[in-house]
Amino acid sequence: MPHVLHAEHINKYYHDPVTFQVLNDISLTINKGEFVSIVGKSGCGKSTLLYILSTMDTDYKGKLEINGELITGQQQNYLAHFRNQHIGFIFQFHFLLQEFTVLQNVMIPALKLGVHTPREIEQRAMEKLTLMGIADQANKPAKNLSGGQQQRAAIARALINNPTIIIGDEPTGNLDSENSIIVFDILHELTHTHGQSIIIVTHDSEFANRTDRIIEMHDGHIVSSHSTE
Amino acid sequence: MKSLGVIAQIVKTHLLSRKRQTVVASLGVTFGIGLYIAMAGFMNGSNKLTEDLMLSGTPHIHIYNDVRVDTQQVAQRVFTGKEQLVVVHNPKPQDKPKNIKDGMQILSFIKNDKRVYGASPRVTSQVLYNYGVSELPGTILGVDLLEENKLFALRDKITEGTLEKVLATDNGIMMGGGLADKMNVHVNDHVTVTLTSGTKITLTVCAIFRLGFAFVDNVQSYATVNTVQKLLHKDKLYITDINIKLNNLNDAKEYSKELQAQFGYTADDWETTNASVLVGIVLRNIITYTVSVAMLIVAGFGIYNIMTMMMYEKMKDIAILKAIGFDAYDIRRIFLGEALALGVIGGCVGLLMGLLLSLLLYSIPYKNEYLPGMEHLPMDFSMWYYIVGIVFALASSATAGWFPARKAAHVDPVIIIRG
Repeated sequence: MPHVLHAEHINKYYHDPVTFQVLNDISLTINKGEFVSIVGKSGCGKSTLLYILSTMDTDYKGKLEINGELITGQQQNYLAHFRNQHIGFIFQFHFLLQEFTVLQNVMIPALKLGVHTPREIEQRAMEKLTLMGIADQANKPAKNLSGGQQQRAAIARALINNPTIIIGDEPTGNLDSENSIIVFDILHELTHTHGQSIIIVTHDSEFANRTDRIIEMHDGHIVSSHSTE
Repeated sequence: MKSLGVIAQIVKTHLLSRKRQTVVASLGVTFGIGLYIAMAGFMNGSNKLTEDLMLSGTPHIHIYNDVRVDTQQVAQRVFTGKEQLVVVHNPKPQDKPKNIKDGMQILSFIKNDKRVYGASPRVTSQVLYNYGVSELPGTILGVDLLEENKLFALRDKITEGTLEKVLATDNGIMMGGGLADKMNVHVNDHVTVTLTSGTKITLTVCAIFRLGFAFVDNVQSYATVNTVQKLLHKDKLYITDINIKLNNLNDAKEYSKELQAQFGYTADDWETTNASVLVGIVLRNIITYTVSVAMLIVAGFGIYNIMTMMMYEKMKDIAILKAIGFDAYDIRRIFLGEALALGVIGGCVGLLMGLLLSLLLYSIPYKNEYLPGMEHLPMDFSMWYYIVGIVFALASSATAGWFPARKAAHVDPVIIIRG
């Protein structure tokens, strides 16, 4: 299977208040269409790793490749465009732009990419919202939606540019079990039918157990990486 | 620049969802610009009034026979040897006639010049106005009243009587308002004046004028050239000054030099004559601009404050936008765009407010007996202030928005998103 993400010997230190190594020689590879979860105790460095893999954090040692392209050492502004095109984000606290409507929130990354006309983008955004089952909420301001609905809108936004990799930081951490099952099903379908790769950091072991592979971290090391049955 | 559309959309949404902040921030600019326009207009209106008043009373070029001591004495011309030191103590001017020789020919020559709007001859006589037992010193100017009216709009300055009456009356004069008040005379009254030669003569007051300058109105009267020539016992060609008005004010300096070179008489241009008034105008302009710039800077700080506040409030949005693919330039454009939008909105309303304030000031009645013809406060409605106003609104909002925008562009999304 071709890999979409490859990280080699990632090391990261925090210097405040004292120098402390968060990540210790992390190497990992994510394949196309793979649904991977990273688990571990709080403070084990899994979120830190996730933000490095997402290209947002550039302060590390090591080498990161996404889609065969070397990411390490690239300028922030280049990385912003790279994220726009190749990476979809789902955050724990949904993080929609509160003043915009749901539809606008979903459309913004595509408008920024500027490949399609606004009309096409709107149509595609509606498709994604329909996929998430919240098409009826499209024209409401984001702040009027429930947590579960906001999280689904955030997923729709992450999908709008058909990214190679979707990255989620506890995407279900704020949802009840019913909503987390819905979110899981949507993500699962994306990997298997659309061939997109997903990396999720989670505390939810039930959720992790249903993904393709679990990477377990402890004190900045990967202690195990095993496929689920 | 594919992203400009979405940036504009974000700017619009941010401004519209914070209507109160938007209004408050742009009101700062509105007041700054509005007050600037009204103040600059009022200040310059007053300056123009002063300038007009000054120009209405002074010719653009004044030719006269200046009494001067010859710089080279006869003795110096005769004894030129190197071994000699020639000193003439306390030299005095020669007793030369004070008139302009061939003045009438010079006058008609000047009148034929294309640059000249009009030229008026003048004969001046020092007199003492007899007022009961006391005598008031003053002057009577003999002028070509119709030409003088063309140059200085004399008719507008008349508060009593008419110009024609002066022309029609033998020994008729037009007296300064201050002088008439002091002597308690009105049109048709007779006044006796004592000439420097000692003779007394009775004149008829046919009109009373007020120029607005006490130093003129309190001492001066006008009469025809002939009348004054008669008072002085001089012939009909005797004139002492020529006053010239030009079609273009700015030719004065050059033309006065030409005249001086051509005829050998002193020719002062209006700037030389009114140097102190012009300094006053420059100083008032400096005051206007200092205060205006201060007001506009205050408006700029208003925008800076609101934009900085907005930046901190929007920290989370900035992080999201960066995460989903907006780079530092895009973020900066969003914040600069918002600042500029505030500047444009505030500035445009400010222009309107400036116009309304100007009209309000302009409508305030203000009359002064020394300024006949003035009905209300002076105001200059020049386009210039409106252009400066809107340019400054944009410049100050762009400057004020720049720092928060730069700060926003440097926000590290990871720190914000991870909390």
